[in-house]
Amino acid sequence: MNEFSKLQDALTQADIPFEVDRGAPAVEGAPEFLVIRKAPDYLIEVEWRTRGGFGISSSRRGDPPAGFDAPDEMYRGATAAALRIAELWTAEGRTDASKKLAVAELRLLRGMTQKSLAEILNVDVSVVTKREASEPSSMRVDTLKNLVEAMGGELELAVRIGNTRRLLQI
Amino acid sequence: MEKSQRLRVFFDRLNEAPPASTQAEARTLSDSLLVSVEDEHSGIPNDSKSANTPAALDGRMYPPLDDYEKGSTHTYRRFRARGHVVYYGMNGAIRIDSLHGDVLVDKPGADGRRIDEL
Repeated sequence: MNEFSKLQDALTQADIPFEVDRGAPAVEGAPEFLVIRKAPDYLIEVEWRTRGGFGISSSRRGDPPAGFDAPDEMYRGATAAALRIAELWTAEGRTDASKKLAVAELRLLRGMTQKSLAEILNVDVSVVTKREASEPSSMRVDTLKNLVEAMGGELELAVRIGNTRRLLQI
Repeated sequence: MEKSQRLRVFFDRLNEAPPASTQAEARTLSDSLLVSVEDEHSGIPNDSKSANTPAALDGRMYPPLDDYEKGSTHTYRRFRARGHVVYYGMNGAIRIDSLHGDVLVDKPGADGRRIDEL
């Protein structure tokens, strides 16, 4: 049973109704989608990538259109995704695109596997696994910088003193 | 310009553009209009790496990737995007639905038929 099926089981057990997009994918390994609707105008959309995680976004009719955006939140496994969906469902809550991301969540948002990230970094997959499992506060800045750059980003470190926020040179 | 405003400009330009006559033309029209709107109004450069990422995080909108084609038939190709479903008809028709059930664009193809008439 894959993670997408596990999520569907978890939602069924939690009595959360959902609609799976059953359209046949055009390419192998294409994402799967499901939508959870709560009357009258609230919905949660879930995207699952076979080699990635679960992207979750909520919206209400009348919200500014999302515009082909990335999902607001990412979860690696079905259990975490189901817990978050249940929380959103109960409170008709909003997903939060400004939520702080773990390194693994950023990788999933970028649609990358540990293997593809390891290839760019020219390291073994086990190194990526270890780095993702380590506490961010214990990671060297240059290690984090390399990881972020391999994901196509740029690491910035900011310091806040009172009401002043300045970027640190790294 | 805010993303929602840019999306509105994109929908307007799509509705105003001359109709396409094939599915490929429809997709090219839609993709090129989105790129031009983003070039003019987003202030974010077109980054090929982001364009080929399932979830671009640079704040710019990119056309749906081939990976996101799902549920196509012999009369249209269907793509999923966050909050939307996009259809390109074999006659050049284009429809964009929101997941909330609103039809945002329903543009006929060159033969005058819309997606639900194919």
